[in-house]
Amino acid sequence: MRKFTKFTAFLAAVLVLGASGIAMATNNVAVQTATYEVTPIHELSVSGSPGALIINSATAGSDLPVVVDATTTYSITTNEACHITGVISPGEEMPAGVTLSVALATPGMGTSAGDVVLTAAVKSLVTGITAVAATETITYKLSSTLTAGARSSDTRTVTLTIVTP
Amino acid sequence: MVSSLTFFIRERAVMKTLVWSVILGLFFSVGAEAIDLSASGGLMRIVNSSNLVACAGSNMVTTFDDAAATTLAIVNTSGSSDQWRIDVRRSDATWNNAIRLYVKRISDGSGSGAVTGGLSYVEITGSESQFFSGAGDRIGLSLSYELTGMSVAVAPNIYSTTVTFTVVDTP
Repeated sequence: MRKFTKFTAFLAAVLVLGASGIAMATNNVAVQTATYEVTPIHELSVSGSPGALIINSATAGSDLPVVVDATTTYSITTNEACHITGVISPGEEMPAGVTLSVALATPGMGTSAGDVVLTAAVKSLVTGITAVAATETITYKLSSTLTAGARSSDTRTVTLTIVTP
Repeated sequence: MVSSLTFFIRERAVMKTLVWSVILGLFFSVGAEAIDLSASGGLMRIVNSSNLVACAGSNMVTTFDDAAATTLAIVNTSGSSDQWRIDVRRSDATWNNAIRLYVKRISDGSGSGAVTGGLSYVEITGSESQFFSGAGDRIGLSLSYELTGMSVAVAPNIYSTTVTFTVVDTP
């Protein structure tokens, strides 16, 4: 004989109420996902080429002067840690006794390597850059020893590059 | 015989209790209206170098607006006088405290009811914020999201949050 108590009846009623309540409450919420993907950004540009660097006079008894051009700038935007390197294109090494150097001002952070002699080997010019958007001065210097002698006009391609760790 | 009759009488009383309990339970359940809310759409945006203000040397655009990214529908109200309110909050998976997310309503949708408020951006935070209100059924309510605070200081990553809309039946 099956026992059927008032407690069982009450329990059944509670289950019906609960099920109905649950059914009523499930559709009053809607969810969505908002996603923003920020990609690495490394943008670098220069304002142009420096003017011609010409050594054509000297003071008697002194070494040849160093010619300086600080008329150009570089612009950088990055959202990651990086540094800037410089290099002269392969096959365009400076002639013996003639030196071309470049110095980049820091973009409000990091460390400038100062005057760096440019060769066909990549060299760091500014290190310790993190997130920044700035425009800063590029300073080129041309120097020559007396023994290098007179040289005809020539050009070199200097490439600046953002490098991430 | 007497014990069987006693059991039969007791069982009928219990059955009566059960039936009345279920009937009353269903009556009060039906009496409590359940407004339904649904959302369609979503938001996925890629922020890259094309979002710089200008070119190298410039920072990123700080604000991004994504209109009609989401549409809401409020249905199953008890009629055009059944008032409700939409609340909104977010729950972050990966986020950056420099950026803030906002939402606003950009359409009235359609339906027998009415809608009011929510036409200015409301910031979506981790707490419930009242968004807009209305009465009756409304569908096709277009929303627009706005993200502010973007800059190069926000590190590369995928920033994602779950936006939860809740319809609250109001008196």
